[in-house]
Amino acid sequence: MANRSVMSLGPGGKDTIILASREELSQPSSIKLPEPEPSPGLILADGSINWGCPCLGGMATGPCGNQFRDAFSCFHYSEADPKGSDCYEKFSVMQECMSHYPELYGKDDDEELSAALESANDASSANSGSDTSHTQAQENTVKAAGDG
Amino acid sequence: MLRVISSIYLENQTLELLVNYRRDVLKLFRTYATSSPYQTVLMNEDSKVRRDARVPPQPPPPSQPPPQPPQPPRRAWTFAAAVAFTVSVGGMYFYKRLSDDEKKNTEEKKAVTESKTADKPTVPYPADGGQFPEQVTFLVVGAGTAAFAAMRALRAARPDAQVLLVGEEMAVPYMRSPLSKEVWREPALSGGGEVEADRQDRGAEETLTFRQWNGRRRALAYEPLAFYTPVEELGRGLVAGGVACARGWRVRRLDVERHQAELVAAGGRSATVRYQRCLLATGPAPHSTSGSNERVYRVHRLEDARRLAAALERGEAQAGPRPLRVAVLGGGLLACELAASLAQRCKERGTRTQIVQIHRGGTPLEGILPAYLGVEVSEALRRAGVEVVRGEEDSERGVAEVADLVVDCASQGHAPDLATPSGLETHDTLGGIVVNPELQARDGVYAAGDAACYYDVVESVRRRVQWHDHAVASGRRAGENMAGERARPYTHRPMLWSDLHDVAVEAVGHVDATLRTVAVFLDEARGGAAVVTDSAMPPAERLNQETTVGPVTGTSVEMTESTPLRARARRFERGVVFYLRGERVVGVLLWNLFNRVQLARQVLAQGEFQDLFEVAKLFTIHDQD
Repeated sequence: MANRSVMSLGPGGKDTIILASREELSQPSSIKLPEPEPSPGLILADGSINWGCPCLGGMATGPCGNQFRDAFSCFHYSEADPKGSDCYEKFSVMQECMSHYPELYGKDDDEELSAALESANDASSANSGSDTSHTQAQENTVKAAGDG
Repeated sequence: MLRVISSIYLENQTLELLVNYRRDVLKLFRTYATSSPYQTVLMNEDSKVRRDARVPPQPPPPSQPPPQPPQPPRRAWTFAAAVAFTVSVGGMYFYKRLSDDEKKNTEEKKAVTESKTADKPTVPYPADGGQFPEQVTFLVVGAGTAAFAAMRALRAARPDAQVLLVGEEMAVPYMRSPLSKEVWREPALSGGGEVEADRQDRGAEETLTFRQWNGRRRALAYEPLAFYTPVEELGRGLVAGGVACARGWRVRRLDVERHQAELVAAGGRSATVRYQRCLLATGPAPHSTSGSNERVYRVHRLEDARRLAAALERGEAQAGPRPLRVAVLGGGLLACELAASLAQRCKERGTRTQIVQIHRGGTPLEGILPAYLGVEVSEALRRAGVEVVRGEEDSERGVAEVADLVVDCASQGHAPDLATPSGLETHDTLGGIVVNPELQARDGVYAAGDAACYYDVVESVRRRVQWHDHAVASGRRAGENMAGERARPYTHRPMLWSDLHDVAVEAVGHVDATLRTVAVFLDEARGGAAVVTDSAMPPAERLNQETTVGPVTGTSVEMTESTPLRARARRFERGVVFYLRGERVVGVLLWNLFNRVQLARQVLAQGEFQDLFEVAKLFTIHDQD
């Protein structure tokens, strides 16, 4: 194996370093890892709503959280046609609440949003009906800091 | 935009509503599509794909993955449409309520602003202890990341509950990690001129924004002030549930048996609040700097960072022929990031300010990195313009004495002050409040984030982690456990992320420099010759001799100690480091590799491998992102 070298550094040689060539590193690996467990989305496998979903941001926890939950629950479980048409009153209550908090609910930024919508639309049409899809999109790269 | 709308329109006829209410729908949608500047990164920051920080930030491409979890599309859209339909109903109330609301907010903000003025005594919020509710469902001590994450979990599980956050700072909960990173690119940090006026007007912590990895601006605060219910209204409105945030208050002691907390604030104010369950999320225990004097700063809090920024500007303005000298004490992530950020700031502004980082021990980041990578970090900091000095306590003091400003990133408290008077056990060596795997300390008392020293059932060790991601995940789990009937252990493998000039580090799991490590790096020069020349060798300080480990067969390498550090070519460009406890991989560190954290988590989940080189191949180290 001329394309690799190994050395040991650190106290007691505890740190092993392998230097390898591009060629060698690009060979297929013999290891296949088990698929990651999908993290729950907004709608759980049993069809119920996951109020703890980070995707909701402050929606379910903010000052109009209860009104939002009422409205969204109504909509989610609605069997009316069109879906949600029996929930207008609840939406109205939610909307009234939200109107008190323009700082929270009155943001306007179409450009960002259209990008988000577009990708949301793409992603969901590729994946419709599925409650989870753990893709690159959810790769966990939390920007964490060495804070303190 | 039109394309988006029309494609949705085709999916469901009810969506024709969108045509009329498009903008309102968008407004609403965004509130749960997490694109608001107040979007809370608690989880979904992680759904982004990180890019090389050395590449200038660019607007996110359309192909960027959606930050929201996949969900049947038409439902969301029908819902949005239905909501849009009602927008006009609420509209008529809007302006009246808005004006009332503004009045209320202004009064509250006035109190905040006043307290900012250095000469005036701090006026906490609420200003009177009598304004606290007598009893709340959940008391959260601290108002940082772990506290905020817990609050969300509590509210999600128990919408009827009253959650009271008590923070010592006047700021509403905000993200702390940018304090050593992005905020130093913001001229507004020091608050000069118009910015200052704006700040005074609106309340500082709400307005400070920073440019994040993708070039998008976001607020430092997780949610604006308006998100929080006024403390005096908590549990007194028509709707029982709510979250309030007391600021400038400190919990001095818990009476664990009685489930009550003693709160104190400046000016001899005090209050007692009963709780059903209490979370201690006080963050890194504040520590008064030894020999504290006016030249010594910290960056523990936003207000600390502001003071330091202002002092830097003053110092630079007054500096004579000799440039301003700033000493950063410490060798941990905070110190390294801050030193690099300050050096960057000085370069960008064209000041001559010198940044000196003084660390104890062998190399920077020696707690988490094998020494040879610590040396690389040291080199990266030098390239950033930081003078990196290895010092013992005496010389630290020496340099600190010739420095104009000293930033102490080394001192850290052991555990929250309230621990001992409350009868809570603290850990002798690791610090923090001792909790079980479910993050419980005593009956009805939990701890999360930096404050917790927890038993990790995955590795069977006791740990204390002080990373942002840990604060988020442990805060959430503590909240879930406090709200639920059944408690689950905290098993999240926390991750960290740090860019130090031209070195980018991401790590997952337990990265502890005392553990055995196996690393695989790409060697571009390699291909034919098997001999590694000494000019390409890692620094000699800690090199022993070459050995062969496990199934990996390697070539012999001669090492010499003759190569001067600075003349050396950069050796470790891209690679992956596995940290092992016994034969099990417990931590993975990615060195200048991006978007591989999920893969690293999969590796941790499996844990044991025959040949780690094969595992390393999965990381496509050769593949430039």
